[in-house]
Amino acid sequence: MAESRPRAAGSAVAWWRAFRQVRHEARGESLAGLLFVGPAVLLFLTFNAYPIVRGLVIAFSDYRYLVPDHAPFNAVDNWYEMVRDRVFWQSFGRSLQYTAIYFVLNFVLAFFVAVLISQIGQAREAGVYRVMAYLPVILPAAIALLVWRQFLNPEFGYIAVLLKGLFGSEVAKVLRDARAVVPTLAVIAAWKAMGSNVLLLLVGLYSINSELYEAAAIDGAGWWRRLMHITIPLLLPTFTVIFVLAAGVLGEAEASLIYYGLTDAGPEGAGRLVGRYAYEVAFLQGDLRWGYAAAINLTVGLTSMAISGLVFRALRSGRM
Amino acid sequence: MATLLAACGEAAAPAPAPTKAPVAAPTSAPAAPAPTTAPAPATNKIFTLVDKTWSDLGMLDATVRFNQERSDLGNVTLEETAQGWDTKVLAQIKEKNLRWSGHGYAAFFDSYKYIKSGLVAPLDDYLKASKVAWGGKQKESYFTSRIYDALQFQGKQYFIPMKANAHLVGYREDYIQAAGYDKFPTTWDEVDKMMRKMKPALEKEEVTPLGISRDIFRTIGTMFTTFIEKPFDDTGVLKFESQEWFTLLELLKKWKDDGLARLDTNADHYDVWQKGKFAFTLGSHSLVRVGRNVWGTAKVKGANPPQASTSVPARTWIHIDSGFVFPGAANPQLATDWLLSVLGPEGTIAERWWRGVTTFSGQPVHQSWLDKVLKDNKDLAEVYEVLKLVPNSQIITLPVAGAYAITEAKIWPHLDRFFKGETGIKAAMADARKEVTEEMAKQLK
Repeated sequence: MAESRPRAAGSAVAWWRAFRQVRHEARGESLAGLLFVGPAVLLFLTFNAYPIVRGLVIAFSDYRYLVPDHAPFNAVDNWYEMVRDRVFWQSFGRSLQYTAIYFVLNFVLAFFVAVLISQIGQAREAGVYRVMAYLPVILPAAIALLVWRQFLNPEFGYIAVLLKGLFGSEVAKVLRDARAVVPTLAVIAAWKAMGSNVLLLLVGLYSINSELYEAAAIDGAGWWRRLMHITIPLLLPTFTVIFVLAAGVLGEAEASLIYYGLTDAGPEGAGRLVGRYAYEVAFLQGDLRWGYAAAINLTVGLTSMAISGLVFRALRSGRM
Repeated sequence: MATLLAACGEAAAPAPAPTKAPVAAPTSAPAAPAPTTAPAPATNKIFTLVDKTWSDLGMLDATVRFNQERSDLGNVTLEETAQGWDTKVLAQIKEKNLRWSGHGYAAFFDSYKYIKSGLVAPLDDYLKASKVAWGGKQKESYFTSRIYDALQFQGKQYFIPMKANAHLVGYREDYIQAAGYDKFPTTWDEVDKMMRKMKPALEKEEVTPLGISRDIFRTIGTMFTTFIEKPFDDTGVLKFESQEWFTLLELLKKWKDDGLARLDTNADHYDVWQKGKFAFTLGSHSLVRVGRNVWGTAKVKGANPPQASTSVPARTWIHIDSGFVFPGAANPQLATDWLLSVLGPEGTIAERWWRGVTTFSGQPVHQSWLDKVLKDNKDLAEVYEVLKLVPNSQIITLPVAGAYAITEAKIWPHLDRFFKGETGIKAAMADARKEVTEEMAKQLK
């Protein structure tokens, strides 16, 4: 009894020591973990979470940047105005068109290029093409758009010269047409973003087990059938990521602002996408009504999320 | 963004600290429409702001000179503006922690919104109390009293002009010579005749006679001032439902339909001009400058805008860009004195500014500098000529600046439909009016 007591006391002490060591290590680990994630969390809170919350608050107010201390809560008045705002609906329609074109081009071009690159056997050669495909992504947007503007200039651009040479000067006038504005901006944006999708798709393509293709080939499946029954089904998760990201361009403003400048929305205002309209309301016109602009952007953001949700749901059910 | 050190080689301190008793404090508090803070403690060392372009064109040199010649008034460090300075200054005014005391440049279309947002202090008391001789003589200081009038808002002066922009015609002399002309015509009727001769002569080179910028205040706005004495109504909105506007737009459409005029996006306008694809347009003197950069002085000239009628004095478009003082600034008196000295009618300090800015795009507002800098300057002869039109012309006033962006945003889709022939000008402008009125109604007074 007398022996067992010190033994029991010793094991309790050992247990306590072990427990403290574990807690100490855990504390150390959690501290290290916090240090690792801390900067990212701080950045997220500062540059993402706070602006989102602040934007939400502003969207429900009549915040006017030029009127000192004027930001009264106005419930859903901004949406009431938005429903009756012709310019908003026109620009929103253009943005939907822009997003649709971007959606298709961004995916089709990237998929086409990725499949081509994946067929290249030489690693070094494939690397060169991967870099080429990715280059537009790292090009600053301003430079990319200015290059395209020169390229598509109705008189001096390569396209105009080519069209004039082939079909005469009348055909080249299409480059001035208001109907060409949204497709033009969407093509440029899709070209600019395509490289990221090429890389995403290549990762997916390279990870498909080559034995699947070999087995299919032995069974007599041609290139097309292998594509349709192996490649595409196995890339569905990658497609989902690409489509969800693409839905985010609905509120795009940058392309139009750079391509046409701050004070000109292009022929017949056809470059006035909804993001640009929000920019004009917030930074150019009258009292600079940040409240209304924030409400526009919130609406656009929610619409983007809804599109993303639909895409996600559609592709997920397709895979199932 | 690099900091410009104007204060005789002094390094920029983080914030100005009061070191001396206030210099010549104003006799009464300035009556700003919405002053958000009381003036900060006065210091004889202040910081001011301006864009790099204007700094390089002479404002920095003038400030260095100011610190040397007027050390009795204080010391000014001029810094370059960075993007978002206005948001930062507004926040600093609210927090009563304002670093800068004044700004050397407000573009005419920003000047009204700066007042409305509480970024600009009224200057009247500082002008009266100034030790700079012409501070209290604002009304007599400018070469036309219309400039002084354009600086007033609700009976107060908020700005000191840093340059005027009187618009003119920029044209290719070789192109008008191809049409058989030695000088640019003085009426629109003659211009019409010239263009009809010019078109076949230059068709091979694909040159269109007139280039129209979609920036309203350039080509169309300038042409409009030659049709009507007061192009803006009392609320500051362009009179785009006037008969004169209809006449002008019908004329432009006719020219466009006849292949005599082209309408370019703002982004392309100067590019097309520099590539020689139109023979003339109207706007600021930048036209002549950038044209000469490519084609040389011999081929690119400037002239007074042609007029709609020879029976009334000739007119043009003119707007004023200005310097100003922030409300609650440290030593607003010194900031005012600095502006008065740099932008004044005489002295070696101001000379550095006015000689510099005229090489770019901007004109003096004092008779003394017109005489010294422009009168015998053969390179800028057309600028001296066009400034003679200013006393007859309606200078863009502060409320106009407030309505300008709204008009510009709303009017173009309707003008485009008109130019395409889808609607008449009256119907198009009635639609535009509806939208402008709706938008104006959304703004607080």
